[in-house]
Amino acid sequence: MTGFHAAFDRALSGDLDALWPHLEAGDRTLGALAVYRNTTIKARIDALEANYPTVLQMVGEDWFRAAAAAFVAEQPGDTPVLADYGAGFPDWLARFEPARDMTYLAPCARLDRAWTQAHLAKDAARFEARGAAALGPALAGVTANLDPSAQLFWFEWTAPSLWLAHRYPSPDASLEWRAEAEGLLVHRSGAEVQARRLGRAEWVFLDACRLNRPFGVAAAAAQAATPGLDLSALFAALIALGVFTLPSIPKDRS
Amino acid sequence: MPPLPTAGLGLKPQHYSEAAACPAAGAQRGLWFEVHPENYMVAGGPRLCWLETVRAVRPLSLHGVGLSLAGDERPDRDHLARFRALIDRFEPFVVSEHLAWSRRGGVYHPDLLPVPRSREMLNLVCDHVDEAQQALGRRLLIENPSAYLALAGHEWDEVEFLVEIARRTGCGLLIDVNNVHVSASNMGFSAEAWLDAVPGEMVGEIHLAGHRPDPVWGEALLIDSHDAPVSETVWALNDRLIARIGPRPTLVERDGDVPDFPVLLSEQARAAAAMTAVEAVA
Repeated sequence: MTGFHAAFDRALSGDLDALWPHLEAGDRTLGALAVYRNTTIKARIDALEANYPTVLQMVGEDWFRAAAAAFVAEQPGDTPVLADYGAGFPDWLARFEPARDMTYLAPCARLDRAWTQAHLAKDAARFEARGAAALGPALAGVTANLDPSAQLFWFEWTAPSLWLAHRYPSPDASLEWRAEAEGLLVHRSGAEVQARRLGRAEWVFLDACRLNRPFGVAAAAAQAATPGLDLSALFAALIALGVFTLPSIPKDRS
Repeated sequence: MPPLPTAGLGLKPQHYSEAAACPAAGAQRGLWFEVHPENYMVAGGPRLCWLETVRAVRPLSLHGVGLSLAGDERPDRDHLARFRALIDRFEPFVVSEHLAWSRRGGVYHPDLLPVPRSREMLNLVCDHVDEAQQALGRRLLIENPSAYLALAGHEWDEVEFLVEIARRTGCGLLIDVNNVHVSASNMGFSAEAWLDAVPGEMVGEIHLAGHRPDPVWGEALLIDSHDAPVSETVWALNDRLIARIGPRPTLVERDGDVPDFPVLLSEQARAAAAMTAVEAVA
């Protein structure tokens, strides 16, 4: 090409001079260029707002859009699928100097991202309590599979509670940021993305499942983490969430 | 047999259940919906379920915004494959894209960027349309974008350029009447003359939308903002076009300040009535 696209690209990043040789002189030229610049920047910032609603709620519209504009300039994105835009935003926020005193911001951004990923994740057939019961003692040897939407988190701070209080408001929600360890499971059950705080044993159990260990190994790990654990109550609670998908069961089982 | 598509609406997530439940009667008999495939290029989840639900009762159009057919890079293979998967799954009655570009050097610009209509560009766009039609297994309709910037190096006027692309590649045209009005106003040409030059047999779909004056430049620079009702000028231009070429599936687009579904339906009904009026004459 005659360099037109490259020149336009540069003009979009702010180097307007690059495009002059490709333009007819006109008094609205700067205004017209601004239309393209504004449209591309606004579309990305709007996408970030939609994808990070908790961060938006915490810092307010003006702060969010100013920060988003700085992010957009650094990571303009390579995908036309805007629901997927801004994967790097949580890490970027963690390094963003003006956010230094808001240590809760990047963790909450990470959880917003997990929500989006769960929302858009592949559908999979659910492993129900009935199916697990039918396996009897053989269940212990069956390889566990987490639903493709499931994401596990463990924080040394109360980031899960703080995020939940914004994203799933309830009267008893705590807005306190405390140095207290908490786990969180974000996953989709049917059409709804759900988030549930996890205790240490639940997290250890699910983490072993995430690594596709047999259910028996996950159970042993959870018991080691929490001596005296009521394992059947734990398993009943987790399988009721719909967080496991159908395992492939060896045919020679009988 | 299901009714033929008449006037359609852009499908917004906040209207999924109303869209699926809307009775196919009166002005809504031929109601259809259009979506950007880019919003459905996801692995799974409720978005795709809703689209299935709406598609089960209504015709669907897939209107791409990310193929970058006028770019200086070949269409993205992965994007084409994902687009093709949606076509195979949802069987749209029409598939369209734009005479514009949006991707270069690993960056996607969420906009419809312009190009000079040169011979070199014509060859490039035709190659990309050929490649896209082959990969998608469908004839594309190509839409005229809104123009804001007076580019140097045009060797063709816009209609001639679009017609030449259609002639060479076998694609059809999607005429966005609002874009014609916005471009005509911004670039200083006659929207009527532009529309009168379009060969009717190439037109497979019409788009109608609202626009706004630029906050700084006012009426001297109109923006194709999709955040307002269709203007009376655009309705009149649409009447003029379809009086000559006959009715075509007509979409009312609204992407910003989206009103309640019944408000959108009233605009859709007006577009359907305009189609009926020219059918009655013919």
